[in-house]
Amino acid sequence: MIPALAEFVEIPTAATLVSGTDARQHLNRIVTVDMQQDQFLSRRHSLICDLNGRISSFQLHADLGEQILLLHNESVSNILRDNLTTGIPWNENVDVSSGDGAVHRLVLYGAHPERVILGLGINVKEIRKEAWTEFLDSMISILQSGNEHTIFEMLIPTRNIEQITEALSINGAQEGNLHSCIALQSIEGNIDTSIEIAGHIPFNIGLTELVDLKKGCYPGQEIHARIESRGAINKSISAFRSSTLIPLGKQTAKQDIPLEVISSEQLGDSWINLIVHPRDLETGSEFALITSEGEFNFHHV
Amino acid sequence: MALIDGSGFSLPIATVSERVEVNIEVTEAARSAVKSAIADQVDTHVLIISAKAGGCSGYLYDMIIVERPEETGFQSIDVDGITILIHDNDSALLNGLELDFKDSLMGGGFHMDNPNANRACGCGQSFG
Repeated sequence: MIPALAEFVEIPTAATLVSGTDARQHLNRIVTVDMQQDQFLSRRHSLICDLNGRISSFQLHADLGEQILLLHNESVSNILRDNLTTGIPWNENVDVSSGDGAVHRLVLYGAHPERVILGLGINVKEIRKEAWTEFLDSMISILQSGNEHTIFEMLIPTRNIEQITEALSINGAQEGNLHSCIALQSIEGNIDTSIEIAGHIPFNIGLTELVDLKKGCYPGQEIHARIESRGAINKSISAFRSSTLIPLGKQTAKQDIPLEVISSEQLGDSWINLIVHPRDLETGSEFALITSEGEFNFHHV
Repeated sequence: MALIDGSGFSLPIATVSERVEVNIEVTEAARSAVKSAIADQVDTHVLIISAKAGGCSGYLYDMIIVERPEETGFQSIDVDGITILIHDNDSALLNGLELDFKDSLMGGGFHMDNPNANRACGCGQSFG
């Protein structure tokens, strides 16, 4: 049997479309990043925070000019859409629509995903992380370009999903495993938009690059500025490997170390866990959790 | 863009805002400053005070002097011959507002005291 060149998997996503001539301007007043210079086909991530600086929603942007498509976890759809539809000025043209089910988010990873992409007729050299490249009514970008794993990301309209997955199969890819795909991102410290992170302070979960303290005010900015200027970032996030699934949520490790497990995904014979921990924790050592569900040992990846 | 040309997107989500009859206070200093800004365009131009999403506290104040807009949905307040407009969508947020003006090189300009605000940003431009 010929081994597959790559694997593809669909990551469940909700979609919200912000459209209108002032869509970008309206969104830019709310998000934590400065997207004033974004342009057609820009790709980026952003956060919307509450007034206490805690994350309300985490979204992936596909900028289509006067239409900005936001891909996000379904659990934050309501609060995101509430935030977007509140405070639209009388003289701005902004509409917010739900696109749940209209667009699929597919990722391609594995040994040679670039060879599969070449087979689709796309020049791999044209694909960049900060922009989307159009193909067959769909779009492709680089989700992660780590040392070992380059992961490509595709946005595909529902009407084309069968056609694209068939083309991927013909060109040597096979259907993969969602958990492995998320775990591969976790190893590189990436938090996928499908992971629930609402309620966290961005600095505490490694999303510092999504907080632009120079862009001007946005909800939560004062809190972020204060945390940053006082050096009060007291938590960090790291990937840990375990031999079993670790229950999500707040836990206390042996030695009374407070931890919060935000994802635990199987990769091969082990699980890759994204864990929020005290910043001064020596991550090189092993840890153990004792919960009502048993004892769990894990070590830094 | 073909990605979003297809079906599957909902109609725009409707925003429902409460409409209240707006009363605002304008201090003598603010009246004088607005008059000075509008100058001889007082018959054709109006001051629109509005609130929009953003700022540290959730909403940002906005003040503009523009030619009287044709669109409906505004409440009109006459202050010494100057027309101040507040959109119905902003009425619940801005009702009871006191508009003041401070003539100072540092921190000067228009100031808002909003009884609907639970919190305000240090710079005074944002409230929530």
